[in-house]
Amino acid sequence: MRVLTVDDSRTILAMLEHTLKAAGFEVLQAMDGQQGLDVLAGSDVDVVITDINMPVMDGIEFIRNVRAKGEHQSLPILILTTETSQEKRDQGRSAGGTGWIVKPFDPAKLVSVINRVVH
Amino acid sequence: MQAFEQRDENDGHDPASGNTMQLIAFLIGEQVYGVEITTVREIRAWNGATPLPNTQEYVRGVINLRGTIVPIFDLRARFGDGITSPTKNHVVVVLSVGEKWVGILVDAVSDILSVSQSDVHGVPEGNNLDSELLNGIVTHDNKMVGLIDLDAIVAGTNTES
Amino acid sequence: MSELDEFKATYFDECSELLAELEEQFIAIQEGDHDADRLNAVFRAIHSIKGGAGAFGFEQLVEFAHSFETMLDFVRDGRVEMSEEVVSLCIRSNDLVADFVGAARDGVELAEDYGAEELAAFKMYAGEEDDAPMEEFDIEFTPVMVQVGDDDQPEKPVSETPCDEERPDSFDTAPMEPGEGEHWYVKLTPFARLYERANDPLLLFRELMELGDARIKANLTKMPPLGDFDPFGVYCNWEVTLASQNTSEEDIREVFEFVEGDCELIVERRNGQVAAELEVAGQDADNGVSELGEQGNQTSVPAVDDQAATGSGQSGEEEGKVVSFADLAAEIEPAPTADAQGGAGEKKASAAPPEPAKKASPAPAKTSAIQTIRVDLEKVDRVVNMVGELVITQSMLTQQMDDRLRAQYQELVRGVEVLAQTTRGLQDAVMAIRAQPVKSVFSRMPRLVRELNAKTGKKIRLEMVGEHTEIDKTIIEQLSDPLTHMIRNSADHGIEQPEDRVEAGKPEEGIIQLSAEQSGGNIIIAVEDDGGGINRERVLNLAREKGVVSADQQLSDEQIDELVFAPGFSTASAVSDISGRGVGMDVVISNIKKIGGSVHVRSTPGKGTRMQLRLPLTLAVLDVMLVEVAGVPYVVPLSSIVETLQCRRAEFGQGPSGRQVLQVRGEYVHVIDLACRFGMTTEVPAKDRFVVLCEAEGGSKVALMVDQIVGQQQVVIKSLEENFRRIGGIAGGTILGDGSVALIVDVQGLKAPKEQQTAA
Repeated sequence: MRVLTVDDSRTILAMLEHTLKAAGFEVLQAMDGQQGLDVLAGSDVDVVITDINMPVMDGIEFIRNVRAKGEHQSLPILILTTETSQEKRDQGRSAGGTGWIVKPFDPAKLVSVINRVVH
Repeated sequence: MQAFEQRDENDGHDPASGNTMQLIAFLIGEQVYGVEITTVREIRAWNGATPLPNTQEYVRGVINLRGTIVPIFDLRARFGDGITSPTKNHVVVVLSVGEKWVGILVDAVSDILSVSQSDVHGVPEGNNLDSELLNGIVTHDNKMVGLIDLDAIVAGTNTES
Repeated sequence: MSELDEFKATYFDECSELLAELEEQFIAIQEGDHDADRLNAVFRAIHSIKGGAGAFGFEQLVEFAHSFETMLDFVRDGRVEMSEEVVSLCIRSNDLVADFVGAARDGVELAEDYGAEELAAFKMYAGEEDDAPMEEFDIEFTPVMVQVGDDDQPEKPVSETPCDEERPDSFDTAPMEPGEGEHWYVKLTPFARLYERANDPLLLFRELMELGDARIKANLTKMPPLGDFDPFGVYCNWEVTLASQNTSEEDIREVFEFVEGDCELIVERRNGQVAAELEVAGQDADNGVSELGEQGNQTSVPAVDDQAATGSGQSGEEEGKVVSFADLAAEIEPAPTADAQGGAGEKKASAAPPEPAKKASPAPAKTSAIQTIRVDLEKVDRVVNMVGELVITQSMLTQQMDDRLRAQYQELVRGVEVLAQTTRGLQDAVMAIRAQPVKSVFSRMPRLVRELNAKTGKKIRLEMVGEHTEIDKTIIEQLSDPLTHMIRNSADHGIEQPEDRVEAGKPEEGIIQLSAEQSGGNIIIAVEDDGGGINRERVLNLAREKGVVSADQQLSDEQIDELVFAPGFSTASAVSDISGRGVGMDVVISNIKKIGGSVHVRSTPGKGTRMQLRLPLTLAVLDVMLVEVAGVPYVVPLSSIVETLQCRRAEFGQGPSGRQVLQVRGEYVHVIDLACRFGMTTEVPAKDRFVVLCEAEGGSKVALMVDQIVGQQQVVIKSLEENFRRIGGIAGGTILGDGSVALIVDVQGLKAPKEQQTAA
């Protein structure tokens, strides 16, 4: 099982990596949406976890781009956000986000949420 | 291989001069010949060669050098002094000549010499083979060292006998 | 360093970078650059600092950064103007953020009202938003092992257990504990956008199953006839009965959190037998309710078994009507084209097109595509070479297996046999990598024919057959010139002018057929035309004129035909600029021979000519017979050997010219003593020597006399030309198991000069 994590914060990436690896996932990383698209173009990924606020290409744009590609229409994408407001989350979902994870994330919750969207 | 180790002490011979060249000197009987060290790929003991049919007598055959087939030329025979009867003490010097690798069978590798370009003299006329196969003659420690013209050595083999 | 400390270290590193960046941005902003990108970058940086701080519970920092961020958000969308005041507030605040970060890093407590002034300013600009920027920040980096596969029971995440006893039940409309026969009824009717967001009911049910014994029924009444089936359509809904104690409606709704608004969801607590509930569904069965439990019966996954004990008392009777989730999953999982949405339909309408957009798992879709990588040919060749060496080593090992060894070390022998097999397989596999369809060279030919048509005024159609035949890449590269020459030759000398064709009763348009096919270990490539055939009389006269054959020599038709490939030979009465000047066809031969192939030509007067190239499938490995001549090893390609015999058993005679001939089955075969031929002397008595009967091109035979036959093996062909030159009668070299070099006998080459001798 391979997870692509997209976040411009190295701290978050490191924590995600740790948690996910401990749960037996393989972890790929990208620092912005564009990098995320590049990774997707070159690797098979089972689920994506993406931040919303990122330079170059933000998470919303990223999700939209992923969904625009036929091959990734059924790729689960989880939005990672500190937004307490519903707004960002809804934007992410409209773009095609599958679910969301609220930062700071609880490792167990993170994994159970992934299980909710991945076979 | 041992010869390479001596390189350092010889380097000091004339370090300032850009005209210095280093030769690997080897013996055929009493005669000393040399080739530029940069052309030498490997020095190995004679271990037989597979004869090639219908070639000049100085073509001793071919050997396997790590998967490629390399021809061996008997330098004594090339200079018209008869065929060498090689023993395990004889030496094959593998040289790169243009794109090709060739081996020359000599009696022994004697030294590494640093000589100045200005010490290279023309080949005296008289011996056709010498003028065909040598680039020049260098005097070193009162000995005449024939500089082998590798291209000429190889060129002569390109026709069938 | 603990993991948490490591993350903190990463975080503080990142913070110093972000703070440096922030400072840079604020200075630019101060200088009047209010670019939106700049504001976004500032916003993101603060956001990142806040995010990490939240994770580690640096509450002061979080609070400050949150308010700062909120204000920046207002600035970003223009609700607050980036006035000088605001800029200076930002710069001051940036320093404060640095202070907070530093304090967090050093574990220093700052005064509680540190930065209060700025905080107040933020609130002045952005208003009192919420005072709780984040929830709790308890974070524990205890690795959790959770089964993510679908084969085992997914473990319930411990900390988030929805049925936690202490959790206050916010829904008091229903009693917490369902009594006997009480259960939850869930009905899920997805909208299309549920799938568009990559959610999958199957997974939701899987999660639901963790709450208790879930029985799931797919309702397919809306499934259209196949003809109207829209692969993206949504036709399915599901009803679930969940027998579980301690499960609140909230717990169930939480499972469906991500699909809220993307589906119609009914969650109800119901009483009565589960059976009764499902009776309705059972009645619908004829109308298209799919019974997924047909073969599933009551087999529940172990996960449910515990809880099943509580609820299964009621469910015993609905065999065949309902099915536990596990069965549903079992139905769906093995077929990658079936998904939770279409999965149920898959049974009824198994011919339903797959639903690419809604495939439950992305993985199968990807594996079905052929994936390719580009590899440097040199790398492939290195593998080819090493495999070649391996083949040699293996055949050397096999050679060493004498009877004594076979008897004594059976395991070893078996191992060597397996090695031989594996090596063969490896070799084939590697060769397949190098193989390419001949199409790549064939495809250049139509253009050539068009040009030839234009030049000659002839009407020629090129037909191509078998262009997908695969052959070693190196051979393909060597094919272009020979094929070009052969087609030119056919166009120039073979196909007649249109008027001549009509006169001969042929269609105006001539046909050149270019074909490729595999035949055993060879590839046959042929250029065949329906032209006038080779004018043998003219060819023979010309050959005599040019001294290629002697005046009195009698040649068979075949031999005359082959003359077109003789060096320096051209049949065009007027040398045309198409087929060239007698260079060409002999080039074909030498090119093809170089790659181990042979050329044949057959012609029928008035009907046409067929020129055929026989090429090896691969250049890398050659099956040979190892022989010895005067103590020197030689190898003869096995493909050219007809048979071997001892000299003492062979019948020799004298040919017309006094040469030795071998009489074999009524045929006289020219004998070549390899020792003589290669200028060596052998001490082996004639009667102890061997004859290797070979077949050269065109079916003519030649007998090679050798001292000893050592055995058969495979060798890798090595070039003599790479460091030396070509030698007559030798096709190349090879390296034997002991590291020595053996030469490969060129049967055709040995024969040819002799013929020329007789011809002269």
